[in-house]
Amino acid sequence: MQIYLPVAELSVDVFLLLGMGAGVGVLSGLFGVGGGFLMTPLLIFIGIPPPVAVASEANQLVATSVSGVLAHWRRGAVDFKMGLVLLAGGVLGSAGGVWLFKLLRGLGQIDLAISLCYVVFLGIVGSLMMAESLRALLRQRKGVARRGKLHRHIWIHGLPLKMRFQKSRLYISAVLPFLIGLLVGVLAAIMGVGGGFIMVPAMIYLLGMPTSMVAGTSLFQILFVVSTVTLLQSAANQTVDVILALLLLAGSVVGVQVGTRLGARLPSEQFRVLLAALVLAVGLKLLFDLVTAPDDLFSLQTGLL
Amino acid sequence: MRLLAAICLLATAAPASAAQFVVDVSERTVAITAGFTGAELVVFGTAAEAQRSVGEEHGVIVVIRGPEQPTVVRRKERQFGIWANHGGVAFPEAPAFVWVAASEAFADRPLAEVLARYRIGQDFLSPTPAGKDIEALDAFQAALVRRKQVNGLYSAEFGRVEFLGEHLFRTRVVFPANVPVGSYRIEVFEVRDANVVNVTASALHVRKAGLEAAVFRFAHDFPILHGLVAIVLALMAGWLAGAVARRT
Repeated sequence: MQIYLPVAELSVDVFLLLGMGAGVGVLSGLFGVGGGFLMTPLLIFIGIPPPVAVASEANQLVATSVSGVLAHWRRGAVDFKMGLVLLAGGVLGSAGGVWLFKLLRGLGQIDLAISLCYVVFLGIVGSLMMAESLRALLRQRKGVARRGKLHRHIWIHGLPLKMRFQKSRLYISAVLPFLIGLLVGVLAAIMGVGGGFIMVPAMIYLLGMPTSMVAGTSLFQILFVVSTVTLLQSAANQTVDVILALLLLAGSVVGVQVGTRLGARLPSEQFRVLLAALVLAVGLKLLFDLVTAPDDLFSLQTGLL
Repeated sequence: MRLLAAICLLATAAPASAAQFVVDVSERTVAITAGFTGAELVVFGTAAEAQRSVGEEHGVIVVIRGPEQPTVVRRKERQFGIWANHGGVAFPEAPAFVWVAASEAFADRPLAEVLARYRIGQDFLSPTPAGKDIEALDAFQAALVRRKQVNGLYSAEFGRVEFLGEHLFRTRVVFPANVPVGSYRIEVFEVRDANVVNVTASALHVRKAGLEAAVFRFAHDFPILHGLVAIVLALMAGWLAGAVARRT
């Protein structure tokens, strides 16, 4: 059954969109990721114009993050103070990102910018995740638990504007979380992702936050950043397709529940390797498309620039 | 039914030798609704001169063109191992959609050749660029037409205009699902030898209707409010999903 998407201005099969939502939703539930990094490239692959794909995916992520934030909040696993510092950077970053998006679109380089961002970030995160999960698997096999130092003093702790984050039991500079938030905000606007796949490792390894606080706090930041992106993209570029977002959302709501239940039964370490492989595969596919000669060297861009 | 009646009326009204050149179309508007997968309509009419023998240089050419749209053609080049857009040509008034059909005498001949002969459609076969003296302009013009044809928005060859008897003709137009919205012009040319002997033009509108139109208008007329509504909808959906999941 075809449905005409009013903002994307094309007809797409309803069941394809629901299926994509469900498929990515299962992965989200399984691994606790937002899934934007998979959904946006998928939407572009099926022919949705990249500006519409990015903006509508941000809209859908509002829904996926809100239920997560509420669940973590109930368990007291959200560090609001840290979240607000991340968010301050995030709002500024997403405003800059939406502006940059418009600029690149006028220059005809937005598709390239989106692809390059994906290749770089999926490559880095995928490799790190792969290395980390393989190491964890090996450790598990050997059965040796490694004890780390309680506090490692590195350059990060020398930055100014120190703040106390009681919930995370941290006394660190607010500059670093602000900068992390800023980067994630820019990426959210350009790539149509929540940015959890960057923020979570950064919070653990750079900020040294306790893992129990990481998921809830990052979701808190993501919820407000993707809301900001949705609003700004709608206001500046009119590229948010609500019908598209709602269809993806309907599929993903079901998928997430299935994924969560599956995740409880399956060995998580092995699956981390799979997720890492998936992230790397998407990155490699996009890289492959960039380096191979296109069928037609010419492309069209219509409408107001 | 209305169409059939109209054709019958035209058929009976047409005298044997010389008739009036009359053209009409089955629908004046194409409405894009939620389930839109394309639309079909019929352009029909009577030719002034009788269509006598096959192969004679006489016939009808129908051209339907869509709204003019600023279009940029970009060319990719390899830079640092990556194929990136490098250079482009803007065509400020390229028609978004062009569909052509011709009767038997012309239908199997190359489209560009026939149209050039009667000086029809130069604007879409070789669209005018924004600046002058652009290097390799021909390549960009050809690319514009080629990409449009690949997307099904420009005809690559003639559709068929059928003659039913000596004067009465009709042709079936298929608009694809990605047809652009806006004002269209239907032009019908009656040609004999090297001349256009008759021509008519009429308008056609392609517009969004129903929910699709409302959503689109809302997104464009109230972009900030639209963004807020989009956020609230997503928040409610997400909250609802979470609440349902906790129950089960």
